[in-house]
Amino acid sequence: MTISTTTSPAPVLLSADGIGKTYVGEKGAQVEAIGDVSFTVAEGEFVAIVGPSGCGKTTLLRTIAGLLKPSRGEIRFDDKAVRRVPDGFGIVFQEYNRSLFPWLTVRKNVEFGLKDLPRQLRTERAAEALARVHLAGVEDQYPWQLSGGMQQRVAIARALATHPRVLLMDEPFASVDAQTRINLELMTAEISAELGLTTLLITHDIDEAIFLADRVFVLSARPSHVLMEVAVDLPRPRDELATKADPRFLDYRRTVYDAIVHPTTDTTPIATTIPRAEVLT
Amino acid sequence: MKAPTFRSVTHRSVGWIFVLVLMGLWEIAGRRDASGLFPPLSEVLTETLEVLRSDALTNDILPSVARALAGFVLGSAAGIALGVVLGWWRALEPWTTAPLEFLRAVPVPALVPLAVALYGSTDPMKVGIIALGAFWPVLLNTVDGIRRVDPGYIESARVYTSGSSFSILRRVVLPAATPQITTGLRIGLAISLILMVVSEMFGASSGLGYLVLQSQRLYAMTSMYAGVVILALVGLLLTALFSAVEKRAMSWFDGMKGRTS
Ligand SMILES: Nc1ncnc2c1ncn2[C@@H]1O[C@H](COP(=O)(O)OP(=O)(O)OP(=O)(O)O)[C@@H](O)[C@H]1O
Ligand SMILES: [Mg+2]
Repeated sequence: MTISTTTSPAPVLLSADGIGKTYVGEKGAQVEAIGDVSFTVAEGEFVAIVGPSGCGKTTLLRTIAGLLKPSRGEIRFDDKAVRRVPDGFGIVFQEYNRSLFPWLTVRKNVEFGLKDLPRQLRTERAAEALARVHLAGVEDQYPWQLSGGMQQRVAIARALATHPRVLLMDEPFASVDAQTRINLELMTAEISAELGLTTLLITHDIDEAIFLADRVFVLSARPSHVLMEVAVDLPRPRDELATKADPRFLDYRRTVYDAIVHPTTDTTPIATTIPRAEVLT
Repeated sequence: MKAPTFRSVTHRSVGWIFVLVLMGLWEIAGRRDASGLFPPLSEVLTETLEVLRSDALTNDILPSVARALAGFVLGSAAGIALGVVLGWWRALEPWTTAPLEFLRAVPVPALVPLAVALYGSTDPMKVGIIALGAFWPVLLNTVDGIRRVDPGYIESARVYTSGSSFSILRRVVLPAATPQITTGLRIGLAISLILMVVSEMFGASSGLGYLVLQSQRLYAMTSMYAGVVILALVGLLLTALFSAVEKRAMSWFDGMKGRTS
């Protein structure tokens, strides 16, 4: 197998090493959500983790974020083991209506993580973050007065306002309509590129993963392990029509799709880097 | 911000018309009654105004209301404080469930004779009884409200508050639980008013409850009814005040409910 030349030379900022999570229910019933997952995210890199519904994606995100203790393995951020939510993490959750605070206005939600800053700076940061997500004029409304897509923009702005080093997103666009979803994807790509933000996107949508990421990790069904690692060599800025019509895009897509639909019977987690040449043949 | 629709206007006026009809019936029935047990409304209202203009206002009515408010505030504060502790620190749950189940089953009015025997018909006794009555619904609703806060809010809070348990409690859990705490306060206020009256019916020599009881003993039926009317007015006034505060504090909750239902 050819050695990949697409691996980013930037230092690793975030890594998962042999992560496993088994939930133990009240009556001792066990659910093994994550089998064995390892991956790395380099500084400034956009990584997507794609996996079928119910495979433990949210569990994985909560583990990475330090919100949930893994049963096995370790998460490292900036060369330190993660035991609680590290400073420098901005997180966008799957369900915006359970993550934005309904008693706070949009502005107050966005300023929520800036408690320790002086008022003037808080206002500036919030305005800057809201501009990045193209939201203006709704600062004094409540989140529940906005559409789903706008609410998820507020959630992204809340994360950006803290000037995070890593942006973690759990299926952020799963519950909005198709057109809104495309707009939000383009916006995310733009923000991530402009800020050079290290981004980890968790999704069940293969197209979304390939469209946005530099590298994609493909997860199996529960208990999940990494089926495949794909380095996505598509030019940036990516374009909704041109990128998705690029033959390489279609090849990546077929590769990932095959991996999920026909996983090899051998369940040992092998992280395969598919070099561009191999995908094209 | 909605303009009142024709429907909502008629809806409300139907209620008021019904009240007027009932008042009319009272007046007619009162005039026909010969026993003196049921005076007509006009006499009751005249008597009510007289009582309100007399020194009963400063000797009986206002002190009663002050005791009710003091008891309500003290009991609610204790209920919220203990409720937050029990609701947030779940480790305490196994220790506290059984004692709380037992204690809340004791009806507070039944304790009034005992309290009078122990402490006499004093202000602290009355305020204490009222506080105890308000305490329970506030405590139970606070515990429940805090335990039911959506874990999603708490996870967001853990991300954006550097994980300090106290600031999560203050900035997220308490506001999220406010609707249910308010429900507890509303019940607590109603119970405070009941206990205000009950606590003045044993060995007391002043107060609204005493006024009603004393009129009944003296067979002064019109004054007795006037006392009841004043009690109703006090209740209406305090409830309206509470609603006004509630409406401001909870506009987000009503708005959200209005949108999702
Ligand atoms: N707190 C929990 N206790 C017990 N089991 C859980 C818990 N949370 C999740 N699970 C189980 O773990 C498995 C993975 O759940 P998870 O929510 O991580 O999957 P997901 O990939 O995010 O799903 P979705 O595609 O629906 O978002 C599921 O079988 C779920 O029922
Ligand atoms: Mg999920």
